[in-house]
Amino acid sequence: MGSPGAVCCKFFLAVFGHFKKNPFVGSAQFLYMSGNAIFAMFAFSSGKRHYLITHTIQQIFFTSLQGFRLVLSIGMALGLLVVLPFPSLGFTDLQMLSTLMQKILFHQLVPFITAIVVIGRSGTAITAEIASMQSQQAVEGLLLMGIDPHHLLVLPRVIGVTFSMLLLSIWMVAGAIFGSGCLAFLVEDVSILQVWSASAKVVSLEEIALTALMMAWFGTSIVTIHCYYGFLSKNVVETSRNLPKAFVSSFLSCLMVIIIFSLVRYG
Amino acid sequence: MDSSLLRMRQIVLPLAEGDFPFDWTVMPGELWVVLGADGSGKSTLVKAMTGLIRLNAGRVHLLGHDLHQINSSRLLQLRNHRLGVMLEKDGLVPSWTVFECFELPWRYHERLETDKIEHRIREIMVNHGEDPALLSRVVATLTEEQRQRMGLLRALQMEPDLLIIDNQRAVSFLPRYFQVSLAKRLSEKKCSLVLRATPGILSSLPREQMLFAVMMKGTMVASGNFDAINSHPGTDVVNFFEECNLWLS
Repeated sequence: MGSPGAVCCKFFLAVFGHFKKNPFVGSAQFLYMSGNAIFAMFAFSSGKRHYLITHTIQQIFFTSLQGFRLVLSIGMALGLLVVLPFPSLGFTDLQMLSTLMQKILFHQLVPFITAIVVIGRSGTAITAEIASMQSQQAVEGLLLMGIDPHHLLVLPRVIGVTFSMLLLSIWMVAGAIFGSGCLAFLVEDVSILQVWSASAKVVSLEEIALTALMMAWFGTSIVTIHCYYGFLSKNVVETSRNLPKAFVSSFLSCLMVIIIFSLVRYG
Repeated sequence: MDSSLLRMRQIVLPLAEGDFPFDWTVMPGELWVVLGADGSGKSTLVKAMTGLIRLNAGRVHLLGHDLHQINSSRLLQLRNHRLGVMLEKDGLVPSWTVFECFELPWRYHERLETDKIEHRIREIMVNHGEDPALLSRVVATLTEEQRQRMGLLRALQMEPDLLIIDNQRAVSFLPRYFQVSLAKRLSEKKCSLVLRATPGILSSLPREQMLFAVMMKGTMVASGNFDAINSHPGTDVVNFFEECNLWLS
């Protein structure tokens, strides 16, 4: 160990060097991986199609079907939480409730919390799986068998998670309406169907399309970021370092996307 | 016409200490054993041969193609059709079954009809004395030895023109598989074999058929038959051959 000053200098050099060198290399690698995975959509054969379909279905099963109960429960809890303050504040207007649910829940909270659930469940699983392949040289093994790992591993996950994001958000919205409807029924004697129809009235097709686009963007960014960090991990130590990095990066990217979409909606 | 399977010219590996370029040629039917201490560049050499890493200098012609000029899709094709490689780890996907790992190259590249794949895989397992029940096991649940054997079998499964084994443990299983078809294909010059050296391999494979390449500090310092290499004045090589001679005696 050197003097504290020297240690500090080394530390700042290391950190500065990391930021100075890595963004370009990292961005280039990330863009190459994303572009290469997209290119796979146009380089089809029946063998490739088999793996694309199988792995996409597996991803949808894991992300949306196995996560169904969790997302529905979170949706119900969100619905309850939004309606809970209403009686104490003296609001009885169903129209106001549905507008508030639309603005806060459907546009902001549901997509973002769905994204966090997907990052926590599927994103980390993707990083861990690719990292375990890396540590066994299975990715190099794929290359040596003439198989592009981006085509085999990234594209089905992008499609699967993107599709699952849409499904999960629908289920979370359904849960939220059910949760809020239950509370509204208990407190104000308003039926769930009334809450449902009031919610449906304030939702337009453009709003749905915009939310769907946002969910698709979330899905794509989550998977590409987690795959990227998976490919970066060559051993167990790097995996344990890259998992939280992947979580934070995809979380921040989703936050950025939701801010952009909110600006488009309300800005 | 150049009939070599691998031709390296004026190669400088990325980890080489200093600028000492070397040449190396692997012809059909040859059995090469690559020797060298830890960190001498054996694995880097294998990665350079297969185009997995970039070289500091030199040209590699693999199976008749210049790796500097070949495009990535052609390189992928070339590796799939004519190259069998086992790296230091087993290279199997941990979350897949053994069957899925074997099935992948045939099914992905449509090199075998779907209904014939299972029969072919079982045939390979039985021919090499392996229990077909292993096929349904998830790779992560196999023992280390089983994984190495399955990795080696997968390198052999496509009957490659050039087989490269950079795995010390897997090499010890090779004599068992060598009896099946590899020796015949080597003698008929239908393939070549590049191995990472282990002392035991010298006693179990035909030594008169072997050629040796000695790696030291990231460069190839000598290559040739046993007698030529044994007289080489490198300390690591001498130590290695002392160990080999002990084994042989």
